[in-house]
Parts: sequence; structure tokens; C-alpha cells
Amino acid sequence: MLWLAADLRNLPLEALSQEVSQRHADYVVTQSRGSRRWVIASSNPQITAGLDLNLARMRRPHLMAVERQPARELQALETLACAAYGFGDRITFRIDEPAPDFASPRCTLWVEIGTSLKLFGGLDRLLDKIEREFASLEHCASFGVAPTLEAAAALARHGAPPVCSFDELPDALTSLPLAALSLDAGTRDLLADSGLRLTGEVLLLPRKALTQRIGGAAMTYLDRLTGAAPDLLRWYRPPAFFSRWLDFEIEIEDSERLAFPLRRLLGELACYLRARATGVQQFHFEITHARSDGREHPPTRIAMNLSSPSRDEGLILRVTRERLGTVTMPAPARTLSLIAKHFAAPAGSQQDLFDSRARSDEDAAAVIDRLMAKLGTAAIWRPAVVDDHRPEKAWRAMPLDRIPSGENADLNARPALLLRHPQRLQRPPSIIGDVERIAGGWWDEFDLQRDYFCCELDQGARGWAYLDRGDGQLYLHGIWA
Amino acid sequence: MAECLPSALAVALAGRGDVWRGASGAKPRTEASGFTALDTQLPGGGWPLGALSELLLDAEGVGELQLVLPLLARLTQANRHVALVAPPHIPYAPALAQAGLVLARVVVVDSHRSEGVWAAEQLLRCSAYGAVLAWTPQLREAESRRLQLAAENSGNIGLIYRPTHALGAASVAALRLRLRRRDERLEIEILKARGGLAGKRFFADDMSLAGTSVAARLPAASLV
Repeated sequence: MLWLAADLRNLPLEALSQEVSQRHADYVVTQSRGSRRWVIASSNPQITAGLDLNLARMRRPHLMAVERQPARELQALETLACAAYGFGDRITFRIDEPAPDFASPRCTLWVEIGTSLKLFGGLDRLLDKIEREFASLEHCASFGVAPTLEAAAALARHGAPPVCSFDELPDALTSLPLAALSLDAGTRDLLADSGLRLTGEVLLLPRKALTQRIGGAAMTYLDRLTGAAPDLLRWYRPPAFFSRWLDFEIEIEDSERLAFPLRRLLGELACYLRARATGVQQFHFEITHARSDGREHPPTRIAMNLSSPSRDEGLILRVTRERLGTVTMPAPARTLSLIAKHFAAPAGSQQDLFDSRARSDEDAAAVIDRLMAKLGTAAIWRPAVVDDHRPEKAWRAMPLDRIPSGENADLNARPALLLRHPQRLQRPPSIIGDVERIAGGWWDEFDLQRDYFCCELDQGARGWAYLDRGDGQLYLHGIWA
Repeated sequence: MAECLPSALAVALAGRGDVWRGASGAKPRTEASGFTALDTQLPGGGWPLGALSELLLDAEGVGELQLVLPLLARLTQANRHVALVAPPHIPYAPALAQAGLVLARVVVVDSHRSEGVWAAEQLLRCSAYGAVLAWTPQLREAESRRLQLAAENSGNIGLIYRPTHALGAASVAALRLRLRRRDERLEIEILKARGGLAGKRFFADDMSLAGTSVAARLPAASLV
């Protein structure tokens, strides 16, 4: 196995909604513990991670500070994991929280690339491609390659050249500084106080004595670093639902301005859809609002319904933008979330390989399913004839899964539309043509005594009416449409 | 036609996808209506395929269904499905059977207004449906554009029934006909015909009077 590790140093910064970056040149992401608040990522290279926020503010008075959003960082990692699906199917990621010393969290994503190296035409090309892929999602990472997960991550942090086999690994680890390892701060300080600086020096120590000093957990880590112990991990699988949100550090007043965060979320959705090889037809947005005029506003929910499943980012974006244009926000937006739960593979424009008729019947069934889902099963039916001379009994609404088999009674010409209920005519219409007597039906208690005829309605339209010989009234029963 | 225009302008116009020229260029693909009088007047000789046709009615009962039943009969006989969406009354099975429709391939969708347009769009998009008839008393322009687009994608025939007061409404339909009963006959006025000339008025001669149905069983082989 060969692991590619991406060290995402700026992830806390990149995971944010970017509203800040558009409005402030200098901004930092901070983490707090107790009363202390320190910088974990910064847009300004002069302000380094680990710096206390108050000190940072003394250097740059106009510094904008935003608290870290761990949930959003995980979402960003998930998106990168979906993007990484293009390079290998074993993917995992982890955020190492900063230890008691004040440093940045370490966000690492791993992909197993041993099986796909050949496909991409070698390591250099693969690295190039994945770097561009990440850049298109507005993330930058440094990469490390090694046969073990931890070694790949350590090499990525140190910016060391790739190591493609176990034989080369010990040499590569020898010169690796301890700071690149994922050891907790206490262990690292302990080793540093003993005068150890490089990984190689630590690995040379007698095992038993070392375990006593640094503990079993750190020892297991070192074993996983060298490949002496196996990695027990769960591989990332895209979840069944897609749900992402952006928390705006600065409220957005104008729905026009939502276009940018919208594009970001849809980009993440597209990534997810590609990883799952599926498409989306229905999804919805939710905008939560800030308080304004002294009152709360309910969230604005925008349901999107595409005519067919798609994973075309451009198409989804176009449709959504259009929809967003019609939305007026009652108050500035505080968060924007995108939720998709129903997925279906896009039809695609594939050529018919097999019988097109079979496919078209399948399509027909699929569209009927959709209609029934929305309108109810009873709303979709087939007209069927029944061998009966009484107009009401001569037809039947048949469920679609049954094939109408009735024989048509030998009837005179009938109008194309039949009224659901015969309608009383207020004044006698002018009769056209012959009168047809339809009578009988005592056997099933639907006894008719009617004289049917064609008649003229308003504007020259033709109706089919009858004289009920029971009550002597005239009724309209059909339309010669 | 091209000579009438300065050549630079003609070239500029030809390059635009959203400009079409009346009564020129390639004839649209069509499906015969089964009525000679109508077919001779329509560009391409029938109902346009992959497009929306609007039938505007002064009142229901002028023969608006009779006008399309031969088409539906032919489509269903050729194994295509047809759908009737949101009809104002029950499409009467004996009359449809008399007109030669294969009822096993006829689907009726009962629905409310907005859902009717949605349903029609779904059906139009599906290639199994040769023709979709929809009764849409109120159709917004955006909706009619969606329907037109759906028909374009699938190549199906979309037929929309609208009342005459929609006459002034903007329409993207390729064909707009006004139907009314005059002198005991069905009079058809072409309001708009893509690829043809509008403004013609004529009677659907071979269309019978109410009460004597056409019942034309046209050969299925003539279907495209």
C-alpha cells in the first residue's frame, strides 16, 4: 500500500464562508480555551499560528478575528475526501486537536494511491492532478507519500520527498524532525528535553525503556509510523444524505451576495455526487436570518426541483441562481445550508445500445411513478371500455398496471368528453340529428329511461344531452370536443 | 428571401439561434393531422414534432379533440403512449375507441392547475410519449417555455388547450391555432406557425359534424 497524505494547514481558514476574506485583508482564525484566545491560522504571514490574539492585535490593530468552526472543517474535509475518490477508494481523514501547548490543529487527509499510480501515469502526474483538484476547491495542501499512513502525514508536514517503498522508509524517517510527528506535546517535550531532535534518534532507543518513558500509546504510534503495527481505520464513505452549511461571519444583506457562498456549496454537492456516481433532482436551501427590527425571522426555505436528475454543476448553479433571484430576504442572512436527500443517476445522453422500445417503456414507467408520487395513485388512469349500452357504464377508469381488455359495445357515435355528472339544462337547446333512446338497467339498479340527442350550446359548440323520461328534465351529459 | 436583405445583415441574422425566419429554410418535422385541409396549411404538413402547439378555443365542444384524435390513434397504433393531462371532463373511452385509439397506451392525468403543467412537462420529456395533450386554462409564459423546452428535448408533440382570452398572451409555441365553430363547421385560424405564414383561415372540411365521428383508422406504417 502506498499512502498519499495531504496536510491541510490552512483548513480552518479555508473552511470559512470566505465572506471575511472578501472584506478584510488581515484576518485570523482563532481558538479559545478558558480566557486565552490564540491564532491557529492567518491570512497574514507575519502573524504566525500559536500567537496570542492580544499580541497579534498589538501588531495589527485592524485584525479581524474569527473563531474556528470545527464542524465546518469536517465538512470541508468530507468534500476533499469526495474529490479524492477520483484517485483511490480508501480514504480517511483526521483532525488532531492542538495539545495543551498553543498550536494549530492538524488536518490530514489520506488516499491510498498504490493501485491507481499506473492509471494516472506515475506519481508526479498524480500529485499534480490532485493538487489542481484541491486548488479548484480552494484548498491548498502539502503532500507526502509513504507506505504507512503516519509516515506519509509526517513527510507531508515536513515537506519531505515521497517514499515509495518500505526499504526507503527508515532512511527517510532518520532525518525527520520530531515536530513533524503526531506525538502529544508532553511526549515531544520529554524527548526534546532528553536531547533528541530527530525521529531516527528516537527509533534507535531500546524499546522497553522507551515504552516506560513515553507510554504505550506513543509507542504504538511509532510502530504505526514504521509499519511495525497495522493501521486500524475506517475508510470514509460518502454519507447517504448531503447536508452542508456556511455560517457567515459577516451577515449578508443582499440575496445577490449569496451567489458566491451558493456556488461554493453547490461545488461541494457536485463533488459529493461525483464520488457517489449519482445525480440530484430535489434539494433545498435554507437561509437563517439575523434578528432585525427587534424580532426573529423564520428561516427562508427554497425548495429546488430539477426536471431530471443531474450532477452538472453549471446547470444546477444556473437553475439555483435563477431561483435565488426571486427570493426576497426579510432580514440579513446568517447561515446558508444546502440539503439533498434524494438521489438518482442522471439519464445521460447515452446512445441506445439495446432495443430503444424497452428503454422507452422503462422511461414511461419512471415518469408515471413520479406522477403518482406527487398526484396520488388515483389521479393517473387509463380509460377502458365496458360492454354496456348505458353511457355511465360503458367506460371505466383502469389502474395503469392493468391492461384494458373490455370489448366496445356496438354503440352509436359518442362524444369525446363525458361530464362527470349530468348537468341540468336551464332552457331547451336546439336538437341536431336523430334521437337515440337509451333505456334499461333494472338488473343492477341503474335503470335509465333517456332520450339522447346532439344539441347546440353557446358559440356553436356541440353538446350531448338527454331528456330524462323519469323526471321530464333535460340534462347535458357530453361534449363533442 | 435572402436576397431581400443586405447580405451582411442576412449573415448576422443567420448566425443567431434565436431568430427564425417565416416560411423559409428547413421545413419542420411534423406528423400528419389526418385532415387534408389542415395538413396543407400547416408548415411541414402536420403537427410539429418536438414543439408545443396551442389550440385556442372560444368554447369547449367545437371539435377540438376530434381534430387530434386521428393523430392519437396513429401514435397509439404505432406503440407510442399518449397522455391527456387535466381534461375538463372525462375522456370518454367508447369515443376514443371509436376513433381508433389503442386504449392500452392512453393515460389520463387528473390534476390541479399548477400540478397539471408540471405533469405535462414530465410526460413531454419522456420519449415514450408521442403526444401530450394538456388543458391549461391559465398558463404563464415561463411555464409554456418549460413545456416547449421539454418537447424540444424529447421530440414529442405537445398540444395545449387554452381559452381564446389567452390570445394576447406571449407564447413560445411553434404553432398557435384558434378553433371556433362557424356555419356548422370547424373554422381554424393560424395565429402563428413557425416556418410558415400566419393569418390563414379555413374550414376543416373533411371534419364531420358533431355526432358523426371521424373514426379514421389510418395505417400505422405512415408514422415517422
